[in-house]
Amino acid sequence: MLKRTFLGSFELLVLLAVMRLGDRAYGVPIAAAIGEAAGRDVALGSVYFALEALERRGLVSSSLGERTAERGGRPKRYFQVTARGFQDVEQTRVALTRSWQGLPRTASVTA
Amino acid sequence: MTALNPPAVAVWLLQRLRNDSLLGDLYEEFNMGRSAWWFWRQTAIVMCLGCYRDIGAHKLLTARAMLTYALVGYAVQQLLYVSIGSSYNSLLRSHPEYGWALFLLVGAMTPSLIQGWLVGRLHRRHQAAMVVAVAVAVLLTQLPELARRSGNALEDARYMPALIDFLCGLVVSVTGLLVGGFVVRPLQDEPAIAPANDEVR
Repeated sequence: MLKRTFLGSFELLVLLAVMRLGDRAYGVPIAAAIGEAAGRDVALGSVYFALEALERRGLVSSSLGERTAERGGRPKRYFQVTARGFQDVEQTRVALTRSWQGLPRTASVTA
Repeated sequence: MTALNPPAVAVWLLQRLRNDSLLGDLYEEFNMGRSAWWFWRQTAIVMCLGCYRDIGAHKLLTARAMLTYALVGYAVQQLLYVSIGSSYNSLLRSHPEYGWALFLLVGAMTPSLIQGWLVGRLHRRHQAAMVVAVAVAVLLTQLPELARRSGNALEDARYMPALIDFLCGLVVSVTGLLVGGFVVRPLQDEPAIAPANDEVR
């Protein structure tokens, strides 16, 4: 039986943002997507260090992209979710859905 | 579109962490209209997280950096004592008004610059984290003495000059350590994550 792993809340947000962005998933849009979902700004550093930890665990992979003048001549690093990453996201989704079943909403949240 | 340049000192600090793509992302956000204050805040967050991560992942290396600092400090002290000890004392006797400046320059700043430089130079792969770790260790080890002197100064104002001397020496030492450590040119950037994944799209 495969070992089940569950993702932390921020890791889950990061992975979902990468999945949502597809080919365009690099630091700036990932941070923007998480900020939009969470309703507040997220530091780019936090996103990067979470992505590095996820890559060490084999849940995402990365590749270097183009350099532009607006980036000070520095390359973009694009991220993709691996098969194992998709599996962990699905396991976490199932666990969270089961945990939420039958519970009332705890508070109203402005979208 | 002409690219804007973010604060140069912040960029210089971030280069010590050797993460080109993160720095590029910060540049991109800055050129989309973010302020210099935003850039500095991101720099502080990146430096703190990066150093914390590196120190946690390389505990033995951190211990080695601290040992390097201590050994170099001892060696530099001995060297200064042997080479300029008598001249220093003569100058102090003839010009006591320079005593404070001499103490800060010779006793605190110069050894710290050398110690910081060597720590940075011998730990270039994790330069920022090791230099910061040593600086924090220096501050922590001086806390008891600082507490003692502060207590004395609060009880009796005559001890206030001694407290100020100590504080100035500590600030100068830590500043020298950080400057010496960070001035070392970092290694050419490597990908922060496994290189096997790297391919240019």
